[in-house]
Amino acid sequence: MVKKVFSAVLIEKKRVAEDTYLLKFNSSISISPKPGQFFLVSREVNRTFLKRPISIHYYYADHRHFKLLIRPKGKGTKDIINVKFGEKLEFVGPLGNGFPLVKNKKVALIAGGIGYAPFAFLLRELKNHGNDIDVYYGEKDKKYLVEYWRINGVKYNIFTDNGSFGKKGNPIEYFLQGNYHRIYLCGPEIMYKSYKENFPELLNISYASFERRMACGIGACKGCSIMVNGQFKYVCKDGPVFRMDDVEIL
Amino acid sequence: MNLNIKLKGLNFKNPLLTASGIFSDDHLDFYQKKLPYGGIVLKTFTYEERLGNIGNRLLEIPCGMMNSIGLANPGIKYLDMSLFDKLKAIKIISIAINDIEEIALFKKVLLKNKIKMVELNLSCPNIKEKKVTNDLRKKKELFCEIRRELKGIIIFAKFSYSQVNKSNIKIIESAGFDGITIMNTIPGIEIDIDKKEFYFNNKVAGISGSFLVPMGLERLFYIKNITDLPIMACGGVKNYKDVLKYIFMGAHLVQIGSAVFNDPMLPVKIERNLSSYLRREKINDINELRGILLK
Repeated sequence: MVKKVFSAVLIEKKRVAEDTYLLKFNSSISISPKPGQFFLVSREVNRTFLKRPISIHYYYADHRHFKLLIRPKGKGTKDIINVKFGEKLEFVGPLGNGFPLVKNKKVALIAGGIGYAPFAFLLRELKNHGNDIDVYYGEKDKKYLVEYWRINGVKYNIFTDNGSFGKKGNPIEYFLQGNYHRIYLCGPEIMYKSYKENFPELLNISYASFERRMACGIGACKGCSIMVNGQFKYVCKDGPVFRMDDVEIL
Repeated sequence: MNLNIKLKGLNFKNPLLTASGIFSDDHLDFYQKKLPYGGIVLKTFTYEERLGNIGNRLLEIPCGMMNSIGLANPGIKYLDMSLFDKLKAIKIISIAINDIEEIALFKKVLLKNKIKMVELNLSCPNIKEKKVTNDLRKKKELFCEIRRELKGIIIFAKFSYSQVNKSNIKIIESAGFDGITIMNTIPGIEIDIDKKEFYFNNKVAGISGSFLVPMGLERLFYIKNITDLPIMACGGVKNYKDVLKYIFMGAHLVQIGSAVFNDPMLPVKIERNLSSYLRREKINDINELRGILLK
C-alpha cells in the first residue's frame, strides 16, 4: 500500500494489563497494512519532535479501524496513551515490510513482553491462511500478560519470569523445535540473542521484528541502521522484520 | 502571487528546498507526485562508499534531535538521478570532496547526470577521520580546482555555524563559488549516565531543531554584511514564518530539515501559508521581501 500521512480518531482505550494499553482508532482514509508493518505516530498538537514507530496490533477488514498495543516507556509513547476519546492522532504509514506469510503450514510465534504487540494481526492472518499455530508468550509477571486475544485452535504456551502464571522461565528455555515450517519472533533483542545461541539451525526459517530509534520512517535519513549480512540496512525501510540468520544481533 | 525564485539562470517554483539528508523518492507517495519544493538537495555523496557510523545514530532532545549518521552513501559513482527524472524541481547534489584527485570522478558523474547545481559540504560534524576545519585557508587550492573543473555548475559552499567568518567567506568568494549555504547541524555531545559513556560512538553528533532559527538568522546577518553572494538558509525551519525570517534577512532559498520527519506535509503547508501571507500583505512577489531588514 502507498504510504500516507493521515489522521485517526481514538474511539476506544482499555488498560489490558499492568501499564499496557489497547487503543482503537478510526482512520480518516482507507488503509491496507500487512502484519508486522508499523506507523509513525504523534499527537497533532504539542507533538514530540519525532514521531514514534508503533507496530499495528490489529487491523479490521473495513480498512478503517485498527488497534495499537502500547506499554509506554518514554515521553512519546506516554503522550500517545494519554490521548482522550475523540482526539485525533497523526499517522504516517503503513511503513516497512511485514512478516512473510505462509499457507497451510505448522508455524510458531514467540513473543517476549510487549513484543506481543504485532501478533494479534499476524495470528489472524496466519489462521486465515490455514496454518497450524503454536504461540510461546513470556512476561515478567502475570500482571503484564495480555490475554484478551485468544483464537480457538491455537495452542498457547505461557511463561512468566517469576512463575506467577504458566511455566516459570522464558519462551526460549521451553521452546521445542517441533516441525515448524516458519517461526516468527517479536521481543527484546536479548531474547533474539538467546534464541540465536540455542537454535542456530532454525535461523533460516525464523523471522524477527527489530526496533531502532527512527526519524523519517522511509529510509531517507539513515538513522535506524542495523547490520545485515555485513552491510548496514535500515529498520524502517528494509525491516522491521529480518530473517534471523542475516542479522547481527546486538 | 509569485513564489518563483530565479537564481543564476535556474528557476525555482518556490523558495523551499529539502535540506540534505532528509529526502527520499518515497516522499513522493505523500505528495501524490506533486512536489511542494522548488528544489531538492540530495544526501551528501563522497568519492568512495561510506557505510556510516556504527552504534546509535539518532536521539531526540528537547526541541530537536541529534544525529550521527556519518555521511552514509554509496559513493558518487552510484549517483542515479533516474528516480527523480519526472520531478519538476531543481535537483541539487550535496557533495563532499576532500582531495584534488577526487574531482575528476565527481565531474564525470555530475555531467553525466546533467546536474546544474551542487552544494559542497564543508561542515558535516559526523566524520571521525576528517575533522571539520574552521579555517578554510589550507583548502583554498582545492576550492579553486573544484571551481575550475566543475565549470558551468553552480556551486554553493555549506558552512557550519563556526565556519562563518570574514576570512572563510572571502576564500569562497575569491574561489568563484556562487553562494553559501548556512548552516549545517551544530556539533554536540550526549552522555549516557547509566552506562557512563558517550551516547554516540563518534562522541560528537549534529544537533538540529527549531532553536537554530535565531542562530541562523544571526549568521546570515553577519554574512550579508560581508558579501552579496546568494544564500541558501538552513536551520530550524518549522513553519512559513521561519522561511520569511530567513528571506527578510536576505536568503534566496530556504531549506527545510528535520521538522519534515514529524510532518512530511510541512512543505505543503508552508507553500500554502507563504501564498496566504503575500495575499494578506498585498505583496505580489516574494522576491520583494528578500533582504528587507538589511536595507
